[in-house]
Amino acid sequence: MSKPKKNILSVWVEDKAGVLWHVTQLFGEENCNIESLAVGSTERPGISRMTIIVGGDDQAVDVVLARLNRITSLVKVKRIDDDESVMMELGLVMVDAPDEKKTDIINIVNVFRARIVDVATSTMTVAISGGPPKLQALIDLLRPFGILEIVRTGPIAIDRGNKALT
Amino acid sequence: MHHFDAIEGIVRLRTAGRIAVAAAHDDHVLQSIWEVYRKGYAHPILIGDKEKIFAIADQLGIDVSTMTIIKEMDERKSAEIAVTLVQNGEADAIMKGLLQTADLLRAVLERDKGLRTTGLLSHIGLYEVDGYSKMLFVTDAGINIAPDLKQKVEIIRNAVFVARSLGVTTPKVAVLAAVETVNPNMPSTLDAAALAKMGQRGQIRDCVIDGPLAMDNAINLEAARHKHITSEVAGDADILLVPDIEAGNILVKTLIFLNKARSCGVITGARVPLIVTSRAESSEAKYYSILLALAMLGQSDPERRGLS
Repeated sequence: MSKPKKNILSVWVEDKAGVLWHVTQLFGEENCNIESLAVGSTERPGISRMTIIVGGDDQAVDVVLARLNRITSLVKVKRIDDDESVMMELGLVMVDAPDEKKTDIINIVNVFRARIVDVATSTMTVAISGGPPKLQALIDLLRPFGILEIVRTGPIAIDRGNKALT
Repeated sequence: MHHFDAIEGIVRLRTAGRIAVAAAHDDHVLQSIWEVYRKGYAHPILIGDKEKIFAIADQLGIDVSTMTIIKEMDERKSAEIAVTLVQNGEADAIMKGLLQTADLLRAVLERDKGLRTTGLLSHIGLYEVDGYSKMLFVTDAGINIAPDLKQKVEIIRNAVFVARSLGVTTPKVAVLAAVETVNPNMPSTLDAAALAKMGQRGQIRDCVIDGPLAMDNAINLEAARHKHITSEVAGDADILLVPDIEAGNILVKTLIFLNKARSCGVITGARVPLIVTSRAESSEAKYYSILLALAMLGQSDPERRGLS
C-alpha cells in the first residue's frame, strides 16, 4: 500500500510580528499536525515564504486553507505538487565516531555527497542537503554508529520550470 | 441558438476553467465570479486588496475563502500577476476588476512578458435580441477605433473563432456599411467588398462573408429582398462587422438600451480570453461574459496562434 500523500504548502506572508503564530494556530485548531515548517525571506522585501508540510486528509487541509485566506497579512497560499517541484532540505547529523570508525563514516558521507563539517575526538558532524528521502537514507546508514543529535531545517520547495513567483 | 442559456449549456459540459481576476475588490465582479464558482464552472483566482475583497464578500453574503486569493494592493501589479499566472499555466482566462482597462491591456500586451499572439486584440459582443432568430455577434465596438482592411480581417477571424466556440460552425459575417453597394467615396464599402472577396477565395476561412450590407438588409430578409440582394448572409447574419468603433458603440448601445437586448462580451486575440466589462454593465452581463470566455477554452483554432 502506498503512503498517503503529504500536503506541501507554500505560504507567502508579510514579515510582521505574530503572523507565524496566526498561521500555525489555525492548523492546530483544525487538528492538522504540522510535520515540518521552514520560513525565510524571499526576493520581495517584506515578504517571507513558509513551506509547511502537514499530514491529515485533504478536506481538513482545505478547511485550513480557507481560514488562512482570511488572514490579511497572508499574501498567497499554494499547494505544491511534489511531482512538479524541486524540494530540498538541510540536515546536520552528529555521530559517534571513535578513530576506528571514522573511515567507514567518511566513506558513507562521500557516497551521499554530504560533507563533514566538524570533527572532534570521538564525534563527527555531517551536513547533508537534498530531498527528504536522501537525508533519511543517510541517517539510517549512520544510525548503527550511534547518532548523538540530528537537526533538520525541514524541506523547502519551489516549482520547476518557468513558474516564477506571482 | 437563440438564447444565452445555450452558452451555459456549453460551459456546463466543460472542465472548470481557471480565471485570474485582476483587482478583484469590486462588488459586481465578485458577485458574477461567485455565481460561476458556485455552479462549478470556474476556479477563480482573486488578485487584489484582500481586506476589501472579504469586506465586499461579507456584504454580499458570499464566501470567497475557498477561492485562491493573492494579496496585491497595486492595481497594475495585480494585472501583471494575472498575466504571469497565465504564463505559468495556472490560469486560463483573465477578468478585469477595479482597474483601468488600459492598465490590464498594457500588461497583456507587454512585449516580453505579455500574452501577445500574432493576431490582433478585438472585442466581440454577443446580443440576445428580441425579434431576431439567433444570437448576434457584433465586432469591434470596444478596442479598435478605425480598423484598416488588414485589421478587419483579424477582427473577423477572432469573431469567427468565438462563434465557432459556441457551436456556430460556419458563421455568416455581414460587413456593415451605410449602403449595400460599393461606393468609392465610402471607404468602408470598399473594405467590405474586399473582405467578401477574401472570404469567397478562402483567405478568411470557416465563415461566409458578404458586404457591404446596410444594417437592415444584414438582419432582415424582407429588407434584403426588397433591395433585390441575393446573398447567403443577407437577412441571416451571425456576425456584424461594424466599420469603426463609433458605429459599433451606437449599434450596441441601441441594442442594449432601446431594444433591451441581453448582452455579454469578450476580448480575444491574446493567448487567453479577456473578460473586460464596465461597471455600467449588469451583473448578468458580467456573468454571461465569463461564460462566453469559458466556452472558448480548449477550442483549437488553426489560425489562432497560441490560443489555448
